[in-house]
Amino acid sequence: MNPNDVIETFVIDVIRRVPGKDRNDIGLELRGLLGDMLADRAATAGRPADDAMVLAMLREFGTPVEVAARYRSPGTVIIPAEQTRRFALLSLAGIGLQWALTLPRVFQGQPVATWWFSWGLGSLWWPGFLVMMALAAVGARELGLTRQKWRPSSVDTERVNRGALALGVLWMAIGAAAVICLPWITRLLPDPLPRIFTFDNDFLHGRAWPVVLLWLDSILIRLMVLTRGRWTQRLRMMDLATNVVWIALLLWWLAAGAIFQAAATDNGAKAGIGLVILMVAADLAWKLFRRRVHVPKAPA
Amino acid sequence: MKPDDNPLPKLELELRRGALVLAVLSQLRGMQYGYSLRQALAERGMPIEEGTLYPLLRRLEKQGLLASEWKIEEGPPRRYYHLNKTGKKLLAELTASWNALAATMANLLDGIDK
Repeated sequence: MNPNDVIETFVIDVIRRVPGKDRNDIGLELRGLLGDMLADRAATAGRPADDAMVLAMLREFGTPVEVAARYRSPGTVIIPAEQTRRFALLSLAGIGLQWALTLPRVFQGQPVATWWFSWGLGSLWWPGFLVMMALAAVGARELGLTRQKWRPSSVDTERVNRGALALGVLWMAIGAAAVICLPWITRLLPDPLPRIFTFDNDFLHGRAWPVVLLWLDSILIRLMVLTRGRWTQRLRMMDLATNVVWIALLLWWLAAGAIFQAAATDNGAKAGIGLVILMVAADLAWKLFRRRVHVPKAPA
Repeated sequence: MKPDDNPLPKLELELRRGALVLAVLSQLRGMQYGYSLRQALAERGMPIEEGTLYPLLRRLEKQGLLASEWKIEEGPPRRYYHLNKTGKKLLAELTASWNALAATMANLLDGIDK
Protein backbone atom coordinates (compact mmCIF):
# COMPACT_ATOMS: atom_id res chain seq x y z
CA MET A 1 0.00 0.00 0.00
CA ASN A 2 1.55 3.34 -0.97
CA PRO A 3 1.33 6.41 1.28
CA ASN A 4 -1.44 7.99 -0.81
CA ASP A 5 -3.59 4.88 -0.40
CA VAL A 6 -3.12 5.03 3.37
CA ILE A 7 -4.19 8.70 3.37
CA GLU A 8 -7.15 7.88 1.16
CA THR A 9 -8.28 5.11 3.53
CA PHE A 10 -7.95 7.50 6.47
CA VAL A 11 -9.91 10.26 4.70
CA ILE A 12 -12.71 7.84 3.79
CA ASP A 13 -12.86 6.71 7.42
CA VAL A 14 -13.22 10.34 8.52
CA ILE A 15 -15.76 11.57 5.98
CA ARG A 16 -18.20 8.72 6.57
CA ARG A 17 -18.53 10.14 10.10
CA VAL A 18 -19.34 13.73 9.10
CA PRO A 19 -22.65 15.14 7.77
CA GLY A 20 -23.31 14.20 4.12
CA LYS A 21 -23.39 17.77 2.84
CA ASP A 22 -19.88 18.48 4.15
CA ARG A 23 -18.23 15.25 3.03
CA ASN A 24 -16.82 16.41 -0.31
CA ASP A 25 -15.38 19.62 1.11
CA ILE A 26 -13.87 17.98 4.17
CA GLY A 27 -12.53 15.07 2.13
CA LEU A 28 -10.79 17.35 -0.40
CA GLU A 29 -9.45 19.58 2.35
CA LEU A 30 -8.13 16.66 4.41
CA ARG A 31 -6.46 15.03 1.40
CA GLY A 32 -4.70 18.32 0.59
CA LEU A 33 -3.70 18.91 4.20
CA LEU A 34 -2.38 15.40 4.81
CA GLY A 35 -0.53 15.47 1.46
CA ASP A 36 1.13 18.76 2.42
CA MET A 37 2.00 17.48 5.89
CA LEU A 38 3.51 14.31 4.44
CA ALA A 39 5.54 16.23 1.86
CA ASP A 40 6.79 18.48 4.64
CA ARG A 41 7.84 15.47 6.74
CA ALA A 42 9.59 13.80 3.82
CA ALA A 43 11.48 17.02 3.04
CA THR A 44 12.52 17.35 6.70
CA ALA A 45 13.61 13.68 6.84
CA GLY A 46 15.43 14.00 3.52
CA ARG A 47 13.89 10.81 2.08
CA PRO A 48 10.73 9.89 0.18
CA ALA A 49 7.58 9.28 2.21
CA ASP A 50 6.90 5.65 3.08
CA ASP A 51 4.22 3.68 4.92
CA ALA A 52 5.89 4.04 8.31
CA MET A 53 6.14 7.80 7.89
CA VAL A 54 2.52 8.22 6.85
CA LEU A 55 1.28 5.93 9.64
CA ALA A 56 3.27 7.85 12.27
CA MET A 57 1.86 11.13 10.91
CA LEU A 58 -1.72 9.86 10.96
CA ARG A 59 -1.36 8.51 14.49
CA GLU A 60 -0.24 11.93 15.66
CA PHE A 61 -3.06 13.56 13.71
CA GLY A 62 -5.70 11.55 15.58
CA THR A 63 -8.05 8.67 14.94
CA PRO A 64 -10.74 9.11 12.26
CA VAL A 65 -13.33 9.29 15.05
CA GLU A 66 -11.45 12.13 16.77
CA VAL A 67 -10.85 14.01 13.52
CA ALA A 68 -14.51 13.71 12.50
CA ALA A 69 -15.56 14.92 15.97
CA ARG A 70 -13.55 18.13 15.46
CA TYR A 71 -15.65 18.94 12.42
CA ARG A 72 -18.95 18.41 14.19
CA SER A 73 -20.57 21.24 16.08
CA PRO A 74 -20.88 20.55 19.81
CA GLY A 75 -24.07 18.59 20.48
CA THR A 76 -26.79 19.41 22.96
CA VAL A 77 -26.03 18.40 26.53
CA ILE A 78 -28.93 16.35 27.86
CA ILE A 79 -27.62 15.76 31.37
CA PRO A 80 -25.26 18.54 32.49
CA ALA A 81 -22.09 17.52 34.30
CA GLU A 82 -23.32 18.84 37.64
CA GLN A 83 -26.41 16.62 37.42
CA THR A 84 -24.65 13.44 36.32
CA ARG A 85 -24.12 12.18 39.87
CA ARG A 86 -27.74 12.79 40.83
CA PHE A 87 -28.90 11.11 37.60
CA ALA A 88 -26.74 8.05 38.29
CA LEU A 89 -27.96 7.82 41.90
CA LEU A 90 -31.63 8.20 40.89
CA SER A 91 -31.24 5.58 38.15
CA LEU A 92 -29.51 3.07 40.40
CA ALA A 93 -31.95 3.70 43.28
CA GLY A 94 -34.94 3.20 40.96
CA ILE A 95 -33.57 -0.03 39.53
CA GLY A 96 -32.51 -1.22 42.98
CA LEU A 97 -35.97 -0.54 44.43
CA GLN A 98 -37.73 -2.45 41.63
CA TRP A 99 -35.33 -5.36 42.01
CA ALA A 100 -35.72 -5.37 45.79
CA LEU A 101 -39.50 -5.53 45.44
CA THR A 102 -39.55 -8.22 42.73
CA LEU A 103 -36.50 -10.39 43.39
CA PRO A 104 -38.13 -12.14 46.41
CA ARG A 105 -40.36 -13.93 43.86
CA VAL A 106 -37.27 -15.87 42.77
CA PHE A 107 -36.83 -17.12 46.35
CA GLN A 108 -40.50 -18.11 46.33
CA GLY A 109 -39.92 -20.41 43.34
CA GLN A 110 -40.13 -18.20 40.25
CA PRO A 111 -37.38 -19.16 37.73
CA VAL A 112 -34.52 -16.65 37.63
CA ALA A 113 -34.80 -16.42 33.82
CA THR A 114 -38.50 -15.49 34.07
CA TRP A 115 -37.68 -12.76 36.58
CA TRP A 116 -34.70 -11.52 34.54
CA PHE A 117 -36.69 -11.22 31.29
CA SER A 118 -39.62 -9.53 33.06
CA TRP A 119 -38.69 -7.32 36.02
CA GLY A 120 -34.92 -7.76 35.86
CA LEU A 121 -34.47 -6.19 32.44
CA GLY A 122 -37.82 -4.43 32.56
CA SER A 123 -36.61 -2.24 35.44
CA LEU A 124 -34.31 -0.49 32.98
CA TRP A 125 -37.32 1.51 31.80
CA TRP A 126 -36.57 3.87 34.70
CA PRO A 127 -33.22 5.32 33.48
CA GLY A 128 -34.78 5.57 30.00
CA PHE A 129 -37.70 7.49 31.49
CA LEU A 130 -35.29 9.82 33.31
CA VAL A 131 -33.39 10.47 30.05
CA MET A 132 -36.66 11.26 28.25
CA MET A 133 -37.60 13.69 31.04
CA ALA A 134 -34.15 15.32 30.78
CA LEU A 135 -34.63 15.56 27.00
CA ALA A 136 -38.03 17.19 27.46
CA ALA A 137 -36.47 19.63 29.95
CA VAL A 138 -33.75 20.52 27.40
CA GLY A 139 -36.44 21.10 24.76
CA ALA A 140 -38.47 23.29 27.12
CA ARG A 141 -35.33 25.23 28.07
CA GLU A 142 -34.35 25.81 24.44
CA LEU A 143 -37.85 27.06 23.69
CA GLY A 144 -37.49 29.46 26.61
CA LEU A 145 -40.37 27.90 28.52
CA THR A 146 -38.40 27.30 31.69
CA ARG A 147 -36.30 30.29 32.60
CA GLN A 148 -35.20 29.37 36.07
CA LYS A 149 -34.64 32.23 38.46
CA TRP A 150 -32.97 31.69 41.76
CA ARG A 151 -35.14 32.52 44.71
CA PRO A 152 -33.79 32.68 48.23
CA SER A 153 -35.26 30.01 50.44
CA SER A 154 -36.41 30.91 53.91
CA VAL A 155 -33.45 32.11 55.94
CA ASP A 156 -34.61 30.06 58.92
CA THR A 157 -35.14 26.62 57.43
CA GLU A 158 -36.61 25.30 60.67
CA ARG A 159 -39.46 27.85 60.71
CA VAL A 160 -42.82 26.25 59.90
CA ASN A 161 -45.99 27.36 58.21
CA ARG A 162 -48.33 27.26 61.21
CA GLY A 163 -51.55 26.99 59.15
CA ALA A 164 -50.28 24.08 57.06
CA LEU A 165 -48.85 22.32 60.11
CA ALA A 166 -52.11 22.76 62.06
CA LEU A 167 -54.03 21.24 59.15
CA GLY A 168 -51.48 18.38 58.99
CA VAL A 169 -51.85 17.67 62.71
CA LEU A 170 -55.64 17.73 62.40
CA TRP A 171 -55.58 15.21 59.54
CA MET A 172 -53.11 13.07 61.46
CA ALA A 173 -55.41 13.03 64.50
CA ILE A 174 -58.50 12.24 62.37
CA GLY A 175 -56.61 9.43 60.54
CA ALA A 176 -55.32 7.95 63.79
CA ALA A 177 -58.78 8.13 65.39
CA ALA A 178 -60.35 6.45 62.35
CA VAL A 179 -57.86 3.56 62.43
CA ILE A 180 -58.20 3.17 66.23
CA CYS A 181 -61.99 3.06 65.87
CA LEU A 182 -61.82 0.68 62.88
CA PRO A 183 -62.66 -2.47 64.92
CA TRP A 184 -65.89 -0.81 66.10
CA ILE A 185 -66.66 0.89 62.78
CA THR A 186 -66.39 -2.36 60.77
CA ARG A 187 -69.06 -3.99 62.94
CA LEU A 188 -71.52 -1.33 61.80
CA LEU A 189 -70.73 -1.81 58.10
CA PRO A 190 -72.90 -4.02 55.82
CA ASP A 191 -71.73 -7.53 54.94
CA PRO A 192 -69.11 -8.55 53.64
CA LEU A 193 -67.11 -5.53 54.86
CA PRO A 194 -66.89 -6.65 58.52
CA ARG A 195 -65.31 -9.96 57.38
CA ILE A 196 -62.91 -8.14 55.06
CA PHE A 197 -61.73 -5.56 57.59
CA THR A 198 -61.73 -7.58 60.82
CA PHE A 199 -58.39 -7.45 62.60
CA ASP A 200 -56.59 -10.59 63.66
CA ASN A 201 -57.24 -11.11 67.38
CA ASP A 202 -53.58 -11.65 68.31
CA PHE A 203 -52.64 -8.48 66.45
CA LEU A 204 -55.41 -6.40 67.95
CA HIS A 205 -54.77 -7.43 71.54
CA GLY A 206 -51.00 -8.00 71.40
CA ARG A 207 -49.20 -5.95 68.77
CA ALA A 208 -51.44 -3.03 67.90
CA TRP A 209 -51.31 -0.93 71.06
CA PRO A 210 -47.82 0.68 70.59
CA VAL A 211 -49.15 2.49 67.55
CA VAL A 212 -51.41 4.60 69.79
CA LEU A 213 -48.40 5.78 71.79
CA LEU A 214 -46.46 6.54 68.62
CA TRP A 215 -49.33 8.54 67.15
CA LEU A 216 -49.68 10.46 70.42
CA ASP A 217 -45.93 11.09 70.41
CA SER A 218 -45.94 12.30 66.77
CA ILE A 219 -48.95 14.56 67.36
CA LEU A 220 -47.47 15.98 70.58
CA ILE A 221 -44.15 16.77 68.87
CA ARG A 222 -46.00 18.64 66.11
CA LEU A 223 -48.14 20.49 68.60
CA MET A 224 -44.97 21.66 70.35
CA VAL A 225 -43.54 22.77 66.98
CA LEU A 226 -46.82 24.56 66.30
CA THR A 227 -46.61 26.39 69.64
CA ARG A 228 -42.99 27.49 69.07
CA GLY A 229 -43.47 28.21 65.35
CA ARG A 230 -40.26 26.37 64.47
CA TRP A 231 -38.40 23.10 64.83
CA THR A 232 -35.81 23.10 67.58
CA GLN A 233 -32.80 20.83 67.76
CA ARG A 234 -34.43 18.76 70.53
CA LEU A 235 -37.75 18.40 68.68
CA ARG A 236 -35.89 17.32 65.53
CA MET A 237 -34.07 14.64 67.50
CA MET A 238 -37.34 13.47 69.09
CA ASP A 239 -38.94 13.28 65.63
CA LEU A 240 -35.99 11.29 64.24
CA ALA A 241 -36.17 8.88 67.19
CA THR A 242 -39.94 8.49 66.66
CA ASN A 243 -39.31 7.64 62.98
CA VAL A 244 -36.85 4.93 63.99
CA VAL A 245 -39.41 3.45 66.41
CA TRP A 246 -42.08 3.64 63.66
CA ILE A 247 -39.88 1.60 61.33
CA ALA A 248 -39.15 -0.95 64.07
CA LEU A 249 -42.86 -1.30 64.92
CA LEU A 250 -43.94 -1.70 61.30
CA LEU A 251 -41.20 -4.27 60.66
CA TRP A 252 -42.40 -6.18 63.72
CA TRP A 253 -45.96 -6.14 62.38
CA LEU A 254 -44.77 -7.47 59.02
CA ALA A 255 -42.77 -10.26 60.59
CA ALA A 256 -44.91 -11.31 63.55
CA GLY A 257 -48.00 -12.69 61.83
CA ALA A 258 -51.40 -11.74 60.41
CA ILE A 259 -52.83 -8.24 60.82
CA PHE A 260 -56.25 -8.89 59.25
CA GLN A 261 -58.19 -12.15 59.32
CA ALA A 262 -58.93 -12.11 55.57
CA ALA A 263 -55.80 -13.20 53.66
CA ALA A 264 -56.30 -10.76 50.76
CA THR A 265 -56.77 -7.78 53.12
CA ASP A 266 -53.77 -8.91 55.14
CA ASN A 267 -51.56 -9.11 52.02
CA GLY A 268 -52.74 -5.70 50.83
CA ALA A 269 -52.19 -4.13 54.24
CA LYS A 270 -48.69 -5.62 54.48
CA ALA A 271 -47.79 -4.32 51.02
CA GLY A 272 -49.01 -0.89 52.14
CA ILE A 273 -47.00 -1.12 55.35
CA GLY A 274 -43.90 -2.10 53.31
CA LEU A 275 -44.38 1.04 51.25
CA VAL A 276 -44.82 3.16 54.38
CA ILE A 277 -41.57 1.69 55.80
CA LEU A 278 -39.74 2.70 52.63
CA MET A 279 -41.19 6.21 52.77
CA VAL A 280 -40.38 6.68 56.46
CA ALA A 281 -36.86 5.31 55.90
CA ALA A 282 -36.36 7.67 52.93
CA ASP A 283 -37.64 10.60 55.00
CA LEU A 284 -35.32 9.62 57.86
CA ALA A 285 -32.34 9.31 55.49
CA TRP A 286 -33.15 12.72 53.99
CA LYS A 287 -33.43 14.38 57.40
CA LEU A 288 -30.13 12.84 58.53
CA PHE A 289 -28.49 13.95 55.26
CA ARG A 290 -29.78 17.51 55.77
CA ARG A 291 -28.39 17.56 59.28
CA ARG A 292 -24.84 16.93 58.01
CA VAL A 293 -25.07 19.66 55.32
CA HIS A 294 -24.60 23.01 56.96
CA VAL A 295 -22.96 26.28 56.08
CA PRO A 296 -20.25 27.16 58.57
CA LYS A 297 -20.83 30.50 60.25
CA ALA A 298 -18.24 33.22 59.90
CA PRO A 299 -16.22 33.73 63.05
CA ALA A 300 -17.54 36.57 65.18
CA MET B 1 3.98 18.55 43.31
CA LYS B 2 4.47 15.71 40.80
CA PRO B 3 5.82 16.73 37.37
CA ASP B 4 2.49 15.72 35.77
CA ASP B 5 0.66 18.04 38.14
CA ASN B 6 2.38 21.14 36.80
CA PRO B 7 -0.57 23.28 35.66
CA LEU B 8 1.55 25.65 33.55
CA PRO B 9 1.27 23.90 30.14
CA LYS B 10 -2.50 23.57 30.48
CA LEU B 11 -2.94 27.19 31.56
CA GLU B 12 -0.67 28.40 28.76
CA LEU B 13 -2.72 26.38 26.30
CA GLU B 14 -5.89 28.02 27.58
CA LEU B 15 -4.33 31.47 27.20
CA ARG B 16 -3.31 30.73 23.63
CA ARG B 17 -6.67 29.20 22.84
CA GLY B 18 -8.36 32.45 23.80
CA ALA B 19 -6.22 34.35 21.32
CA LEU B 20 -6.48 31.80 18.51
CA VAL B 21 -9.41 33.28 16.60
CA LEU B 22 -7.79 36.70 16.52
CA ALA B 23 -4.48 35.18 15.42
CA VAL B 24 -6.15 33.29 12.58
CA LEU B 25 -8.20 36.29 11.46
CA SER B 26 -5.07 38.45 11.46
CA GLN B 27 -3.41 36.17 8.92
CA LEU B 28 -6.39 35.98 6.62
CA ARG B 29 -6.26 39.54 5.36
CA GLY B 30 -4.74 37.88 2.29
CA MET B 31 -5.62 34.53 0.65
CA GLN B 32 -4.33 31.52 2.57
CA TYR B 33 -5.05 27.83 2.41
CA GLY B 34 -5.02 25.83 5.63
CA TYR B 35 -1.50 24.52 5.51
CA SER B 36 0.06 27.83 4.45
CA LEU B 37 -1.92 29.58 7.19
CA ARG B 38 -0.63 27.13 9.77
CA GLN B 39 2.94 27.75 8.62
CA ALA B 40 2.43 31.51 8.70
CA LEU B 41 1.14 31.27 12.28
CA ALA B 42 3.95 28.92 13.35
CA GLU B 43 6.61 31.23 11.87
CA ARG B 44 5.18 34.07 13.97
CA GLY B 45 5.24 32.04 17.18
CA MET B 46 1.66 30.79 17.19
CA PRO B 47 1.81 27.07 16.31
CA ILE B 48 -1.58 25.41 15.92
CA GLU B 49 -2.53 21.81 15.34
CA GLU B 50 -3.95 21.05 11.91
CA GLY B 51 -6.77 19.16 13.53
CA THR B 52 -7.81 22.35 15.33
CA LEU B 53 -7.19 24.80 12.51
CA TYR B 54 -9.35 23.27 9.80
CA PRO B 55 -12.54 22.92 11.85
CA LEU B 56 -11.95 26.48 13.13
CA LEU B 57 -11.74 27.80 9.56
CA ARG B 58 -15.00 26.06 8.69
CA ARG B 59 -16.66 27.46 11.80
CA LEU B 60 -15.52 31.00 11.04
CA GLU B 61 -16.80 30.62 7.49
CA LYS B 62 -20.16 29.38 8.77
CA GLN B 63 -20.30 32.41 11.06
CA GLY B 64 -20.03 34.60 7.97
CA LEU B 65 -16.56 35.99 8.67
CA LEU B 66 -14.59 34.25 5.92
CA ALA B 67 -15.01 33.65 2.22
CA SER B 68 -13.40 30.65 0.54
CA GLU B 69 -12.76 29.29 -2.91
CA TRP B 70 -11.17 26.17 -4.32
CA LYS B 71 -8.06 26.66 -6.48
CA ILE B 72 -5.96 24.19 -8.38
CA GLU B 73 -2.41 25.39 -8.82
CA GLU B 74 0.53 23.13 -8.03
CA GLY B 75 -0.45 19.91 -6.32
CA PRO B 76 -3.91 18.95 -5.08
CA PRO B 77 -6.95 21.26 -5.08
CA ARG B 78 -6.79 23.66 -2.16
CA ARG B 79 -9.37 25.74 -0.43
CA TYR B 80 -8.24 29.33 0.02
CA TYR B 81 -9.76 31.42 2.79
CA HIS B 82 -9.80 35.18 3.26
CA LEU B 83 -11.64 37.72 5.38
CA ASN B 84 -14.86 39.09 3.92
CA LYS B 85 -16.25 42.53 4.78
CA THR B 86 -17.81 41.36 8.05
CA GLY B 87 -14.61 39.54 8.97
CA LYS B 88 -12.51 42.65 8.36
CA LYS B 89 -14.83 44.72 10.55
CA LEU B 90 -14.72 42.10 13.30
CA LEU B 91 -10.93 41.87 13.07
CA ALA B 92 -10.70 45.64 13.63
CA GLU B 93 -13.05 45.41 16.65
CA LEU B 94 -11.29 42.39 18.12
CA THR B 95 -7.91 44.07 17.64
CA ALA B 96 -9.14 47.08 19.60
CA SER B 97 -10.46 44.77 22.34
CA TRP B 98 -7.17 42.87 22.39
CA ASN B 99 -5.13 46.06 22.69
CA ALA B 100 -7.32 47.26 25.56
CA LEU B 101 -7.02 43.89 27.28
CA ALA B 102 -3.25 43.79 26.75
CA ALA B 103 -2.95 47.28 28.27
CA THR B 104 -5.13 46.25 31.24
CA MET B 105 -3.10 43.10 31.78
CA ALA B 106 0.17 45.00 31.50
CA ASN B 107 -1.14 47.37 34.14
CA LEU B 108 -2.22 44.49 36.40
CA LEU B 109 1.02 42.58 35.98
CA ASP B 110 3.26 45.61 36.31
CA GLY B 111 6.15 44.86 38.65
CA ILE B 112 5.50 41.12 39.03
CA ASP B 113 8.75 40.02 37.34
CA LYS B 114 10.87 42.60 39.14
